[in-house]
Formats: sequence, C-alpha cells, structure tokens
Amino acid sequence: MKVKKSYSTLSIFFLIAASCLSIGWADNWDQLKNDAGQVNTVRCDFIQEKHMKILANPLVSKGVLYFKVPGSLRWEYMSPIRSVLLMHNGKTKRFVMRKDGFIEDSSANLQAMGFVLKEITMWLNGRFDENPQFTATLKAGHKILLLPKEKSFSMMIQKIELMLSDRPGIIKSVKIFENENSFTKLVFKKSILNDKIDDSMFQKL
Amino acid sequence: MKMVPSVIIFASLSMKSITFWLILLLGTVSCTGLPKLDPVNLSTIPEIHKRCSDVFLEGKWRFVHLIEFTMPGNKKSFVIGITVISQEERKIESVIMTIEGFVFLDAYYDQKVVINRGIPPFDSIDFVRGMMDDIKLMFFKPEGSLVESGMSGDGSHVCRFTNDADRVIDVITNNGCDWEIRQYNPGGTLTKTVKADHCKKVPDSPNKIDFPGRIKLASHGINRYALAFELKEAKRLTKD
Repeated sequence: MKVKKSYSTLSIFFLIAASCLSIGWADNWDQLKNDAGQVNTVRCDFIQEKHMKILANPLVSKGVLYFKVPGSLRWEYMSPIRSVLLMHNGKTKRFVMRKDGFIEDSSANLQAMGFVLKEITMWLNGRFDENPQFTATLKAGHKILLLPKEKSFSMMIQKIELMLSDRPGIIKSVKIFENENSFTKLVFKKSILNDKIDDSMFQKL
Repeated sequence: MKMVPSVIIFASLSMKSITFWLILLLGTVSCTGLPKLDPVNLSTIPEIHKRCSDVFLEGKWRFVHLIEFTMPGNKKSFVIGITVISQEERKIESVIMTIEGFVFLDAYYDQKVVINRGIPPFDSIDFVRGMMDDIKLMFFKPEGSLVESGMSGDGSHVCRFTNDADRVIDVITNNGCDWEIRQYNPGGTLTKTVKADHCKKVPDSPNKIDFPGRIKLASHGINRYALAFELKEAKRLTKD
C-alpha cells in the first residue's frame, strides 16, 4: 500500500509536468473541462528548477514536452542530463544518454508510470477536482491549488500550485512542494497546440 | 571468485584431475587473501603517503552525480545523487532523486544516520546505512592506522589501512586522479572496490591531482552490485 502510494505520488509529479498542455484557462471547473476538450496535441519547451536546502542555487534542467490525447507523452530533457521519457499505449520507457548512445532505464519506478496513464487523461481533460488524492481549489490570478487529502500523502507532496496562462489550453508554470525545504518549479514556454504530432514521437527516440 | 564444492568434485575425478583441482583450489584461496605489497625505497614513502592523501578532498564539498546502477542482466537504472561531504567532520548529506526531480531520499550522516525523507525502497535505515558506508569509502580518508606502504605488482603505489574491526582498506594510486580503493574483510576477502578515472579540472580544488569525472563502486560477494558515478558538478563550500 505504501509502495502504491509512492508510485502514485511519483505519477502525479509526472502528470503535472504533462499538464502544461491541455488545461484551458477558465473561471470554473466545468469551463476548464470544456476548454481542455478542445486540445488534442501540445508541444512546449520547459525549464525545470529543483530547489533544495542542500543546494545554494537550484539545479536547472531544460527540455521539451510533447503530448497527444488520450495519453501519449514524450518528456525530453536536453540538459544537463540528456534523457527521454516516453509514455504510449499504457507503456512507459525512459532512456538516458550515455557514451555509446541512449540506454534504456530499467528502474522499478517506471512500472508505476503505467498507473500514471490512467490519471493523465483526467488531468489533461481539466478534471482537477476529480482526483481522489487531492483537494483542488481555483484561486484568484489563474491559480489552481492542490492539497493532499491524506496526511500520509502530504509527507510526500505537501502541495501543488499550477499557474494557468491567459491563453486557454496552456499552463504557465507548476510548483510541486515536497516539503518546506524542497520544491520543483516547471515553467512552460513556446507552447504549440493542436499541431500534428506523429505517434512515433511517443514510441521511439 | 566462487568456491567450488570440493567434495562433489573429488568423488568423480582421477588423481591427475585431483592434482589439477587442488592447484586451482589453492589458487582460488590465495586470491581471497590480502595481496602482498612490494617494498619500496624508504625515501619514496613520504611521496606515496602524499599521493594517497591527495585522493581525499579536504574541506567541505558538494557533488552532483548521475548515478548508474547496474542490475543482473546488465540492466541499468539511473538517478541523480547530490552529496555534501565534510572531510574533517566526517559528515555527509545525501539526496537521491529521479532525473525528473522527484526526491526519493534526503538523509544525513553525523555519527549516525538520519532520514529526513525516504520513499520506498529508500526508506530503509539499513539501506541508507549501507549507502553512507559506500560514500564514506569513496570520499573519506580511511579510519584506523596506516600500517603498510609499498607497491603493487603493476607498479601502483599502495597505502594500507586497518581499522578496529580488522577491516583492511588499500588506497592505490596511479597517475593523476586514476586511483582505486579496495576494502577487505578481516579474512582478507575483497568486499568492495572503488575505481576513479576520467580526470576533470575542478575550480577551487586544493588537490594537486585532478578530480575524477567517474567513480565506479562495486560490492563483491553475496550482495553484489555496481554503481557508476558520473560527475556533473563539484563545488567547494565554505564551512557553513
């Protein structure tokens, strides 16, 4: 159960990154869902900052994300560690660049990514308020706040803040607070909606 | 090296074969003993000690590594490790996270191990203790006494330390930052090796040698595993 929860937490972490994608700006949950329904594909650049007490300056990673309904995702880091996370048809793979090219990562945590796909549709459809693990609140200033319902869950994720863009269908940034000493900030840029993205982008490097 | 069950073998072999296997067995046993060090000229001993000392960074440092874990079947797993070490105080702070930034482990060592955050399987105190022992082996000057110095068969310089538990640690230096640490149990069996290479220049390093861009750690015996640490960032920190 504990393991499942940790997988679930990890899953949500990934889902949030993917959610740059299809959430339309709106004033209420129903409109969010309606706007999100208009988005079929998303491509965007991202900058990820990992803030921790152990670091004087955040660890900065840069990359690009591709998403296609119902649940295909390509999450590609360009620097400082070149890696690609692929999700397609319920299968998840991660590849890391080594001296001789990309090597597949066999981490046990990747098995949890299958679990992610079930939830990703919910997020990408703008159904924030339907995630059973979080209480979602629409705040002023285009902000969505997600708070874990269970205390045991909040030990892993304290809260999540999503800043919606003025442009429907796009999230500007996400902050995931693991605790008071550690959070991840993802800023999404150059988003392109509903462009044609071939399925192969989610299947191979 | 695995020991062969000798009873089974002896029951079915001719004298000639038995002689062969005896030689092989003796060879196997001798492989598990401590390697003998060739004596060196007394005047070179201070230089050997200095080289061994140079392996271990002075002061407080923060490293960011991409850590590659090799599993059976040559499957690989990757995480990012952030480690802060204080050589003189023998303190360690360690964070392990996915490439995507999800923190599995946030722990420190200061005489004892404390886990601030541990997500399975990184929440096991035994696991984290083992991890801290590995970090100590990689970065800290061995505890105990320097009991012998000399040369190995291939001409490398060796400093041999023993601690209170009769564990032996050999620090073996070659050129530049190519160095190796070997840990033996009291019976003289090799239990862990640390190999460093891929020299990198690191600003602020007081060491005469360059800094290893790659460190490979291997645990031998029953609990075998292999880790490769690829250096992404190294920074000398002020005391606090």
